[in-house]
Amino acid sequence: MIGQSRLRGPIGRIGPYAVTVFLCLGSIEAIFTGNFSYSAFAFGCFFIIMGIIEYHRTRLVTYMILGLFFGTGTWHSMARFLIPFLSLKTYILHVIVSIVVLVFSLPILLGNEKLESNARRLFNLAAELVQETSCGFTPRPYSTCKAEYTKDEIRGFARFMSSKKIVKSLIREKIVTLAFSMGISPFKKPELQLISYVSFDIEGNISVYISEHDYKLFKEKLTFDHLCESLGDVFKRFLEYYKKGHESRIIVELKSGGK
Amino acid sequence: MDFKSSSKLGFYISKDYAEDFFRLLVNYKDISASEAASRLNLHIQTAQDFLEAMASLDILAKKEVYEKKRPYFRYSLKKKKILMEIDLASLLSEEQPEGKLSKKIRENKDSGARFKTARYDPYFSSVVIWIGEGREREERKINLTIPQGKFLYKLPFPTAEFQTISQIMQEAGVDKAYSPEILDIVEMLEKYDIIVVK
Repeated sequence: MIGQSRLRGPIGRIGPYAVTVFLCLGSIEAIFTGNFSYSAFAFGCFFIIMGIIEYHRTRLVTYMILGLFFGTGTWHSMARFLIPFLSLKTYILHVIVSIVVLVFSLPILLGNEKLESNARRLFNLAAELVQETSCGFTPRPYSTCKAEYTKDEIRGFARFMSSKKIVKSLIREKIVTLAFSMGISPFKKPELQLISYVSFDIEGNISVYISEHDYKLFKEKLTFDHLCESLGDVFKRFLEYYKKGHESRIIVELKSGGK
Repeated sequence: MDFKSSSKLGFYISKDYAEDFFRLLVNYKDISASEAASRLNLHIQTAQDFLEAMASLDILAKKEVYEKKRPYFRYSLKKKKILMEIDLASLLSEEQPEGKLSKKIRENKDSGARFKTARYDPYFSSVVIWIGEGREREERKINLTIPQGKFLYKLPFPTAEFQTISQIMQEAGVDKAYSPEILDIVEMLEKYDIIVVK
């Protein structure tokens, strides 16, 4: 089981395949009819639907805006032949605006993609040693192991993990929370119960919370308390690496967790 | 006086007509329900209920008399001072809760309960449960005391090993002095199938 992802793939993975399929369909349509209006229409719909799905999943409006721009842009490419007030100029303008929007939203998109793929790696790492599949999901934090750390150490660790886009950290007076999610983006600062997190309190207690959405992405119904325990152990191990100055090990170990 | 009797007395004594009723009883040697009802302008059933309640609390004496062949009751005051003393300690669920503290528990599978975490601390502030079936089903929110919240935070997961209540209390850092309130929430959650006992 080690090295093999135990999670269902994200829907975004179908993007490159879908583009290839639509290009092939467009080419076939162009050969037979001389244009590719039906394919362009379907391709546009695909962009818009993907934008809506990704928005629904991550709650990041950027996905929906880009989906709308790309979708209507694809329609625009064909509609300029059919609608009088649309022309090559309006189409180019549309493309330029889409590119500008894409450039401005790229940091959010890339940041979110990195956070999400690291969340998948974290869950895969945690799931590596969990074999039992008796489910037992419950939407409440699991109080796992204890660890020794100072206030500065845990805050430094949180900042390090945040800077590497592994988690989104929330540092408070009594508690440090490291949030991550394979669904709703932690960038949106949602209610903590909607995303997964690991929290460290000032007394050294570690609590793990796995959201229902994240748990449902596992292919099997892994025994929930074992999964929480294992995820707590992963973070405890990472904290030990950080305390000993072996931060690079965190990255290496994280990358070993399949996407 | 036990709690049930006290609440019965409290219920009747809080009625608007209670003072007038007692004034009658103090001034009359004895009185029937119909005489009291006509004097106080009450429905006879109301007067009857009041007098019967006081008689059952041993405040009034009740004597059966006959008017021709028809029997009826006459009531007279037994004591001119009513003392209401409630021993709240008697409400403690058990004086020696050690037995209950050794019960092994964990969260039930698919309990459907929603635990709300306190904003900045590792304990629960409330638990939301569903009561009833079908269209009668309704949400009920139970606000927890801090010891209860800490205790439930450490409650074993549905697939985890059962633990005794005292073990969980120890892990949660909840003092034994809070045992009654812990047992109270455990009993309530057990009743609604949120907690399962081994």
